[in-house]
Amino acid sequence: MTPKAKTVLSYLFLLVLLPAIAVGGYFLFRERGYVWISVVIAAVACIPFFIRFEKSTSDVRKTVMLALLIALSVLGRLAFSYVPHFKPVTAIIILAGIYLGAEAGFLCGSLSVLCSNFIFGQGPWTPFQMVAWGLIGFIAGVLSDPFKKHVILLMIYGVISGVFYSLFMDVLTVLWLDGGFTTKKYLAAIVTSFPITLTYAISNVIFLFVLVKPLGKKIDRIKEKYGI
Amino acid sequence: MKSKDKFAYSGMHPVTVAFHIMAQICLTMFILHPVFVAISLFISLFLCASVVGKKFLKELKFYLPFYLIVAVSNPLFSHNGATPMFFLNGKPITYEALIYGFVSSGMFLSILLWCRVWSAVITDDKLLFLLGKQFPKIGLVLTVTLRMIPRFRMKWEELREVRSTVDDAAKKGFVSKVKGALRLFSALITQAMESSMETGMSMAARGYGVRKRTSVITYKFRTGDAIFLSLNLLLTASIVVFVALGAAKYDFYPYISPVSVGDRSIIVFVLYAVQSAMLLFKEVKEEALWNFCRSKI
Repeated sequence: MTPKAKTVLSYLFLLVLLPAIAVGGYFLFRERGYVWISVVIAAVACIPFFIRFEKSTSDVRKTVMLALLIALSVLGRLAFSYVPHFKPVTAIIILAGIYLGAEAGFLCGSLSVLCSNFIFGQGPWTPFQMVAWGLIGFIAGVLSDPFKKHVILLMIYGVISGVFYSLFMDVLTVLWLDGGFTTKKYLAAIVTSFPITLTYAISNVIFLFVLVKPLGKKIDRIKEKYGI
Repeated sequence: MKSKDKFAYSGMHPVTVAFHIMAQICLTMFILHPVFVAISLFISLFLCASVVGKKFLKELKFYLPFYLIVAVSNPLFSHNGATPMFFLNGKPITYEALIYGFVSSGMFLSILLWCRVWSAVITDDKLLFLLGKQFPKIGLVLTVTLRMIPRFRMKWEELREVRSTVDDAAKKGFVSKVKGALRLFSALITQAMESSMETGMSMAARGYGVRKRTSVITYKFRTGDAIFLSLNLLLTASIVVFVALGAAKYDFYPYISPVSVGDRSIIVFVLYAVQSAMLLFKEVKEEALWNFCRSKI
């Protein structure tokens, strides 16, 4: 089989797999089904990105650079572990997306979660965090040109991604606490977690503001120096 | 204190252990039935105590209040159920919601404990082994990352010490401290980036990516693993079939349904208990064997 056919096949497999999980999970486990389905779907949703990364023949140096940014965000989460919810992780992931591309942004987000949860504890929240942070990095990569030009857009994106992360994780909170999902409970969860959402947004803006110049400049310099 | 490689699981293939814990987490996650939850909770408690050791006693201080808070908070928010015990601010606090709180919180806790077992048993090198075949590049990224974290910390200390000889040591105050930290951070990043480029080039020069990668650590899939894994698959599949047929059907609202101990239920309870305790059995067996052999020497 050619590599291309293999890739097509793996995407088809996913296209079948996701609905199969949703439908099968619903019919087998009606009561607790929703949590299970959503956690598994979150985990499976990461796979296409990983497959793409595996198939790409990028430079080893770029791979190592990606590892470096992941290590930085894990260390950032560690260094600020005493200040609840005030972390530089999202900012570093956004910068990874902007300067290394959308794909690298997703990987940086999802693998940072995987690595740092070795320290902070793996759990059913791991796949959810992987998707949330991965998407934040991915979108930053897609919109990298306007973000590089206008710092103000970047700051707005920092706020949006903080809010998005919080809203996304609230879905899991609601599902966990009471099986089913209702808009009323979701709104209650959003209101309860409002201070956390605010902290996320503020910390993202602060860290983006502090990091964008030094980190961005350094990545650009290395890219130029070594011709990646 | 026994050393890490004397545990039963360390002799087993990572795939076997990972499948067992994953299956157990999934089963626990979606069967909300008091008996199932109790079985899963007790076995995960014992397994945690055995695998994590004395440290687990300290961790329990976090887990137990967590369990109680989640359990008690349910009747405060959920007013379903037909048997009010008393009224709080005009809202009924029902018996059913309280029981639901205790059972669902038990499920939550046992999932946390199974995850704890996972992180104690599937160490990062085993995870890399598991990822290595399907996702070699991601495995590489994770390996490099996990190596970089301690190295960065060491480098940070080194830079800080050097810097402290140059900087005016008398300078205190928040702003100058933050400025100093940022300068250190900047130096650390530059240094790390240059060295990561060197790592990359050196890897390319040594032929990384030319052929398929092999792993330093190899795990053999032995007969014991085959038996364990197939037994595990069989048990999981039969439990899923029983559950799909309605053996674990249980209603909390409006009335708590009685725990039936019919033929079908008792079979699935036993199956579930065996499935949950497989790793614990293995652990106890190895422990007994070890003590027995040692007493002869």
